[in-house]
Amino acid sequence: MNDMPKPDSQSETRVPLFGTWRRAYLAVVAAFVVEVAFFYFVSRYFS
Amino acid sequence: MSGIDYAVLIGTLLVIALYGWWKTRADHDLGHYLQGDSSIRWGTIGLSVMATQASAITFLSTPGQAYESGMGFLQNYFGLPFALIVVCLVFIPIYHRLKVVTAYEYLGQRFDQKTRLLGAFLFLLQRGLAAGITIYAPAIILSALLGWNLRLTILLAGLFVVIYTTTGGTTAVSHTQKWQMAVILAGMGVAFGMILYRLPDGFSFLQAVSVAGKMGKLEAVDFSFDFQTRYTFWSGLLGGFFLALSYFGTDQSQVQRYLAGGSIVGSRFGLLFNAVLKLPMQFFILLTGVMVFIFFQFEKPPIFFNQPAYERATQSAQAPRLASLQTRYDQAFAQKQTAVRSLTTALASHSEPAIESATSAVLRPQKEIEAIRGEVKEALKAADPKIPTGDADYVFISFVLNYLPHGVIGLLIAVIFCAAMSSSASELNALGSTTVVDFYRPLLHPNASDDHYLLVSKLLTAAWGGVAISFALFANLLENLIQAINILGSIFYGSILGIFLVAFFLRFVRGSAVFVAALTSQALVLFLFYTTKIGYLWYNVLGCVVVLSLSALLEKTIFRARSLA
Repeated sequence: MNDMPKPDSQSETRVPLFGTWRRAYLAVVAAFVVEVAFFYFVSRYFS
Repeated sequence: MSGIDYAVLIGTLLVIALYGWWKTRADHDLGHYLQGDSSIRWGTIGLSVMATQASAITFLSTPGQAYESGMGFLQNYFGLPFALIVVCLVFIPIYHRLKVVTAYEYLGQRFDQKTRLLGAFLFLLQRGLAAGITIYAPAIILSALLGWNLRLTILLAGLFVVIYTTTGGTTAVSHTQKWQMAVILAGMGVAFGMILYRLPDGFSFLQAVSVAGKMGKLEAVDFSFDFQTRYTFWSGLLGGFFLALSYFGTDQSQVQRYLAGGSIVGSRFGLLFNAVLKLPMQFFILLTGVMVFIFFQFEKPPIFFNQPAYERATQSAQAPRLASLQTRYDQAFAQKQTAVRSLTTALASHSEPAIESATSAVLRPQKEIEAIRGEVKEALKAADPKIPTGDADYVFISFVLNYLPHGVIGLLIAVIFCAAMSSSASELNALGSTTVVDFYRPLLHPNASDDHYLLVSKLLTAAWGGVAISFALFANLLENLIQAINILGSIFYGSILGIFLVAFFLRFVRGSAVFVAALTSQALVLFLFYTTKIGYLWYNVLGCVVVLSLSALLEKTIFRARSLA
């Protein structure tokens, strides 16, 4: 069962722009929250 | 279309196709042909993934959808960023570590040969049919509106892509998609700017957005738990998550895109690029449709956007009924036009009672127009049951052809062809690779040279191109093309995703159990598809859950007993 997902420790140490993959994923989630908040604001503000 | 439009269209398509051929002209390496080379960086991967998902139908249907029903469709993509994070976390490290060319090779290593072949077969079946629809869908709309020969349009869209995909493989597909996506984004930007430019003098973008909001077209997020509502935040988050996870994680036409280049950082950044930009891009395309809607508050749109179909009906016994509906439509539109101008004045006054009253005055004739359009569709059906009664796909292209200047029309038609070509290139590339790697090499010719496999890969890619073009030439799917693609995907995606999730997360399950579970799940989904009216998005969830639960059950009971015996 060597094919099970494992933390990618080697590439974790050299992620451009974000430092770690964890930070990159958190940035994506944060972008999603901001985007949905913007869409919601547009829906409410102009209705 | 004028000469300058044809020059822009043919020039754009030819330059991109020649670029794909030129970029790979000296490359005769099997690995590069199937997996790309190191010149493919994360930006190219990101645009290539985006271009693969965005087919011509995206740019024809989506603005029309916003024109008819507003921005709610955006919620369909809310699960996508989370699915892409899971693909980055779980799928990509495994694919890279095992150095697989196709996703189904992993199934062979984790389970056995028959499970690998089942996954690959389900992909070939689903994607082989979808490739035909990808070419056929824009051709039927463009040929109807431009009076082009349908078969020539299909051949124009199909042959270019078959030539550069066959000669250049993955590297050519990724590099051409970068430029196709650039043309698409530039074209849509120009179209958006032209719509704003064509709005009446003194009517600003902010006023346009305000009027659209009052007319209910900007409802992009709905947090209600109503299961009857097609698009809500929750259905988009959950249903969209399963659909996107299956599509990006297990569909070879996408897997091949982000594995191109061979770097794990490139693959992940390419996908995260999409996770962040997909929603704004869809928002922008939908907003373009809303702006077309606002434009048509001042300029009278046709009563039915598929004009060739409407004109055929006016030659039938339904002509008097259609003439009477046209008169009622003209009156309702004149009323609405006046009411929209009053609403604009009320919005400028910031007086709430005045805005409320003006909004009601706009919505009354709007509802009347919607009712009249419903009656027109009934009349068309009565004139000829074969006439397609949906015209949302024709809204945006009708606007482009009738209201944009020459040159820009050519650019926008090029956008539609680029989108069709970029999607079908990925499909043909993946179909050819899967047939060679998962069927030809292991089953028919295991120990041949790389040159032999390269030649067979090219021949099979061309053969799949021939299948797709033939299917498009003889297809007769006049209605619901985007739905046809989604239904086709949803029927097979659930079972395929289930097999992969068992492989990743249920360590104790072995090949035979998952194989039987996947076949049972696929049979169940097909049975339900033919006998019930369950919404097609649920097949993704159902197929996946059946494979997960049944394979675990079989492994713990029947197959455990066999292994002990």
